[in-house]
Amino acid sequence: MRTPVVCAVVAVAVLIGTGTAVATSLTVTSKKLGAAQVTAPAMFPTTITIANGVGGVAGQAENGDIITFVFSQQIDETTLCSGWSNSLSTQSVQEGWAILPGSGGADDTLEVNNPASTCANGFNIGTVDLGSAGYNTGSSNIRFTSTTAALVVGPSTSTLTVTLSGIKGSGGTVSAGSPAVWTPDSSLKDRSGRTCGNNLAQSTATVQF
Amino acid sequence: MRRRVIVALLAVTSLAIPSLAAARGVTVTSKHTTGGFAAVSSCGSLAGIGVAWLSTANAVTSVTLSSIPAGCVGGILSITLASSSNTSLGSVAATSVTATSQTLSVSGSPTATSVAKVFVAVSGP
Repeated sequence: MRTPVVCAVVAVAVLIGTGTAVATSLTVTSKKLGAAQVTAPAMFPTTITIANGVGGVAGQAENGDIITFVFSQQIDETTLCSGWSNSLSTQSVQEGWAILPGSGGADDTLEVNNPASTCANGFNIGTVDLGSAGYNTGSSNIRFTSTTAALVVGPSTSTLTVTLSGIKGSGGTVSAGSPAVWTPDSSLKDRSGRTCGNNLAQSTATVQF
Repeated sequence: MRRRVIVALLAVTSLAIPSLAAARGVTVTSKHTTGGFAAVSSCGSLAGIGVAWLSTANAVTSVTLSSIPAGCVGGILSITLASSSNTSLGSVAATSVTATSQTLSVSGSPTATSVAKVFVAVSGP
């Protein structure tokens, strides 16, 4: 239901030179107006970086390349890996990661494809859209079978550093792409039980590895 | 309710020369003046809007709004991202609401972990 509101504005101009005063009016038909404070995200991914390892080829995924994920909160470590506990602020696991080729021209993705046995419910970091289809130009996954994932839980944030290792297969070299976008897993939570919802993080770099 | 108001105004011109004083009449053209008051209503429940954002190196670069009331489509929306002490850190310029879910660019590059409050305003439609 709309309520018309009429605002009358009277402007009086005194023209000294002519000795004339003129009153003019402005009629405004108002519209609806509303405002509210909405809930700001509290648990979300803040940063992802995918760096080339020492001596590596820029733009090509290889052993030694490092992916860093940062969360805005202290995570509930058990939701990332069920075998972990919040009693420790540092954790480490060796597991399999892979670059999956994008189908139909879609971007390649990076994810855990073989979690360690200590993470019985999977390693729930989520997936990374790498911003290009050129990192895996084949039809099968490029696997990194002995990748190390190390977690550090700080006073207010959590950082996971992944170092690729044990490559099986070979990929292409990308010279121009788009930022990588990290979509956290919906089962991962902070210590207040909050998930990342639909919040995302993207890299500043447009060429990864 | 309408009232007729005649505005009369006299301008008095004071002395330019100390020995002379004169009052000059001012001709007034009267107009009808109407005043009114009514409560302004919102296009819908804005408090129920969901907010998610895209963070680039811990800076909010865009926000995605969900559950925008259907009655707000066609209105003009603006967003302010603020700290816990209500200091504005970034904003979304006034933009048309085209759907009940919408992704909008954020100016000011607010530090994501410093944003504690999000304010949404919609005028119209």
